[in-house]
Amino acid sequence: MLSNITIGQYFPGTSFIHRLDPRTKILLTVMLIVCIFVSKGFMGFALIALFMLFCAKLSRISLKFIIRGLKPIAFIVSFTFILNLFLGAGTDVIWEWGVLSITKQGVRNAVYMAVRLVLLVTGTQLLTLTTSPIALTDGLERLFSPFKKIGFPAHELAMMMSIALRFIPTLIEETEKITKAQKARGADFESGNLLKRAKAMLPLLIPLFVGSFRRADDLAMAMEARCYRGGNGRTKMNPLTFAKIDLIAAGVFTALFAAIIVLNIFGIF
Amino acid sequence: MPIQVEHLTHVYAPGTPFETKALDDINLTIEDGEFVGLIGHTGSGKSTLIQHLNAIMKPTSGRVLVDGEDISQGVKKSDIRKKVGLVFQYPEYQLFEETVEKDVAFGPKNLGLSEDEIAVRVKEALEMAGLEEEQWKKSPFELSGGQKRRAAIAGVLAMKPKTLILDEPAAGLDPKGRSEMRRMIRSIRASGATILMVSHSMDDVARMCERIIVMNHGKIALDGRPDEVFSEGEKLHEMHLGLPAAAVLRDRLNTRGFQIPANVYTIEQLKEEILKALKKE
Repeated sequence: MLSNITIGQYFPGTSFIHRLDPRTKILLTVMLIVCIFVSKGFMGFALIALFMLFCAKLSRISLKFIIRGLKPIAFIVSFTFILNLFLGAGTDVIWEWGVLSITKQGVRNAVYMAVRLVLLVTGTQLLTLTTSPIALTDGLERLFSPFKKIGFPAHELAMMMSIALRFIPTLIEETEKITKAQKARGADFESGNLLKRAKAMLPLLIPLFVGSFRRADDLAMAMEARCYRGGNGRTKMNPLTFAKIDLIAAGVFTALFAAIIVLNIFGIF
Repeated sequence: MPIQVEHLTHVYAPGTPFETKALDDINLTIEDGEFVGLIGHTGSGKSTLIQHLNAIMKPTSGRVLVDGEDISQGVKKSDIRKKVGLVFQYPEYQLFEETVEKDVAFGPKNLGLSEDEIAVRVKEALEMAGLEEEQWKKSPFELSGGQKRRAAIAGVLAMKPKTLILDEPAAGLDPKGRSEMRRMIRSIRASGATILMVSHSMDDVARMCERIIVMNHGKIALDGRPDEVFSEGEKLHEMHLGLPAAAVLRDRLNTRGFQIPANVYTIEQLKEEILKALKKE
């Protein structure tokens, strides 16, 4: 069950998008998010969606895989949709039942918010699917390094992030293992009311915590044994460099951003 | 009653590019009271097989019968787990309670037994595990590696399974821990339980088991008494498996002109054979 989660997963490849500098990809993802928030209407969304489709094709990652990554947020999307549907302000009432009412604006708002959420997650997914966690944290570290002068711990944050990412699969595997082991001892994770189920999680959570501390200890020791002393004076095996493709990508994104602004100005929703 | 495995096949991640056949038409019967060793190269399907024997995993096709009942259909899970106890690799990572005693009581509690019955079972299991009484009230996290392992196995023993499956019970233990583990397994054996032990140590298997099953690529490659299995050095070697130390020595001596029978695989037998051969000269 847990291994079905594809969100945040890296899909190795050598496509145009894969080869972009991680810094470019991070910045352009931020720009894409800005585009999504700036866009006032569905025309803008359609344009962004089309653009994402183009990026997905370019990255040679199957659409099925990307759509599967949306599963975990299905609940949040439907929740937002329903909330907006019933709580939308407006006067054009389409349907009414007691205190519940649906207005035209409400419907529009609900669809708008749902589409926006899906686009946001798809956009960020494209980043994580095409960028290895190591490249991602590398890029973040470089992007934040100018702020080191004012005491921002860029290297430490990046290191913590890569460690956290590194251990996600390990923890998932460990969870599955302990679940099985406790099931073999007759533990029941599936039946009973909420309180009973929460209690049933203890035999799973405690070993998981203990294991995490043990791993953290081991890792700290291993890092010290290899003379890790923080980021000062550390060099990179593969220093990041911008190339021509980064410039091209930046150009394309700027065009998209401009198009969204134009749509907004001319009021094409 | 025996455990019967009929045409058991398990496929991981079917329909994806990661599809792999972990078990391929396995047929197997484990009789009551047997002590079976299960060996095989990493990825040969041992772990997948044992997880089917107490319904932790479901077969893709085929079935597993315990006491004549198909365990993937309509049987209560807790009933199967009462009958077939499964101890995973590194079981000490499943410890979670405040005291060793309470942790061992977790299994029997899940079976819905009375307090008195639980207390009796916990005591029996901990004694079998060779843990001193003063350790019973300690936190399981204060024990040594070997003791933790034995406490965790006691947690499964307290459910009084008729069949106990152990996945690499001695992996990662120091020599003292290993010998204590062997002592524990022998006392479980003495209590009359059927044991299926997965191991990478040919010496452990040779020393303890009466029957050895060798798995290779999801199939059963060899199945027989230790002397039968360990006389197939060539075949085992092809499956990236070794022989017990005594059998290795046997083969080396034979290439230098000795004529020790191929079914010799323990140190004691080998000693006798060597003495016999030397006396003849």
